[in-house]
Parts: sequence; structure tokens; C-alpha cells
Amino acid sequence: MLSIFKSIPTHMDYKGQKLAEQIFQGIILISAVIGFVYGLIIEQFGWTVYIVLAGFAVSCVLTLPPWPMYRKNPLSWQPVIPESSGEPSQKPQESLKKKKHKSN
Amino acid sequence: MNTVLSRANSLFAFSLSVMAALTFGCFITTAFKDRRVPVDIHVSKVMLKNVDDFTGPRERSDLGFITFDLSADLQPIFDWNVKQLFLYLSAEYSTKSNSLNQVVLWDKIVLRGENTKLNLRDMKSKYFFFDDGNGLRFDGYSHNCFHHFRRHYTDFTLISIHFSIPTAHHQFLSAKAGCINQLPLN
Repeated sequence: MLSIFKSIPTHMDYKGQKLAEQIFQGIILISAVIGFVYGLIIEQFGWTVYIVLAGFAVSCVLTLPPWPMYRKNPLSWQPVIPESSGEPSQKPQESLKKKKHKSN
Repeated sequence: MNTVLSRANSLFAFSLSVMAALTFGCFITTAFKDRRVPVDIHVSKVMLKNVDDFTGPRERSDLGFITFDLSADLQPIFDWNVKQLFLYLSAEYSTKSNSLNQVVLWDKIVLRGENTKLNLRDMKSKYFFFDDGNGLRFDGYSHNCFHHFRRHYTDFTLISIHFSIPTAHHQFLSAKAGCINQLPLN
């Protein structure tokens, strides 16, 4: 069952992550200020908690799923170099083994 | 912040910190508030008996019966940080054998949302006014204090009334209490 969840793509770009973080911080801070003032006026702290929880829910919906607005700046990877034969893939492995020997 | 779990973790931790800051703000707006209200207490009947005290090994102790009127408006005390008020009336006096006695005569719990205007008439004391010995007879002034004790970030206010207990036993004396409305905190 877990494989179904793992197959859903949830990545965002770096700029998207920064945007998501700013969005949720802003939403929660605004709802906190509104909740504090409202609770102070009607003299019940319960309403403050409810408003902050509502802000939390809104920011959950806005930032947890990877909306397209968070994927507007994808990283530009280099194009894939096709492998000619098996040799180029073996050489990096040998150099790795040598490095491991040296470090030991 | 690459995965959903990482974003959820960050979001939740931030919300919790903000919630903690709000709770502190709630405390700081009410911690230094002046919680004193004027209280009107009137003692209408005082009766004294000398009976066997079954709660202790003593032989016979003074037992007082007090009937009082109490009126107060507690609305200013309730704010967003007060959930319930515990009020009690205690008699504080000194006798020859003890320098300080405090006996609780009556108490009441007032929850938030209930009626905050107290207008009690001819209330009998809820608990026995037993003295440790025979000290309730009139030796001078008997100092009686009304305390109220607040739940949740507590504080208490002292309002004292004076009345005297009859010199002889079985004597009905109608004593009018001097009401002092506001006293500085102890």
C-alpha cells in the first residue's frame, strides 16, 4: 500500500519551496494576529485557537500538495549522455575502488 | 521541503510555536490586572453554643452559627484567562490559646458563563464554626475576612468585616457588620 503513496510525485523546485514556506508562514501569522485580537475582544481564548487552526488548515491545503505554481522554475539538468559501451561505466567504478583503498 | 512530510513537519512546528506565543500573549495581557471588586457583607444573626467536639480529643468546644447576607458583582474579574472562581468566607481571629485561627465558613464555585451577580440573603454557614477550645467568646474584636480565590493563575483579594460574638452562650445578638469595600492586597 505504501508504494501507491510513494509513486505520487510530491517534489517542488527550490523557488517553489521558498514560495511555499513564505505562504504558510504568512497565513499562519495573519490568522494568529486575527485570532488574538478576536479572542481579546470577546474574552474567550477558545476562539483564538479555532482561528489559528483554521489558518493551519488553509495553509495545509495551499502548501502541502505540489501545486503547479511551485513548479514554475524547474532545474535545468544537462542532457543525458548515451553510453557507447560497457567500458566508460567500469572506469568510474575502478577509480572509486582505488579511492576507497587510499582512504583506508 | 522537498517531500510532503518535510513540509508538513515544518508547517506544524511553526504553528505550534505561534500557538505558544499566543498563549503567552494571553497570559501577559491578564497577569497584572487589578482583580478587586467591592463586596457587601452583612451579618444578621450570631449564635454560640458549647458542645462536644466529635472531631478531636477535646472535651467541649465553642460552636458558632452565623447567618449572613452577601452581595457582590463578580463580572469584572472574569476575562479570557479565568475559568472559574472559588470564593470562600473564612473567619480569622485570635484567641488566648492560638494567635491566629482561620475557619472556613462557606464556599462557592462560580464557573465562567454562570450568573456573576451574587445576591445571597440569610445564608447559613456551610461548615461548622468550631473553635479550638473555648475562644469564641467575646474577648475583643473578632476579625472576619472574606477571601476569594481564583482558579487558573490565581490571585486573592481580602475584604474584611468585623463583628463580635456574644459574651454569654445561647444569646442571640443581631450584629451589624462594618463593611469595608476595598482593601489593598496582603
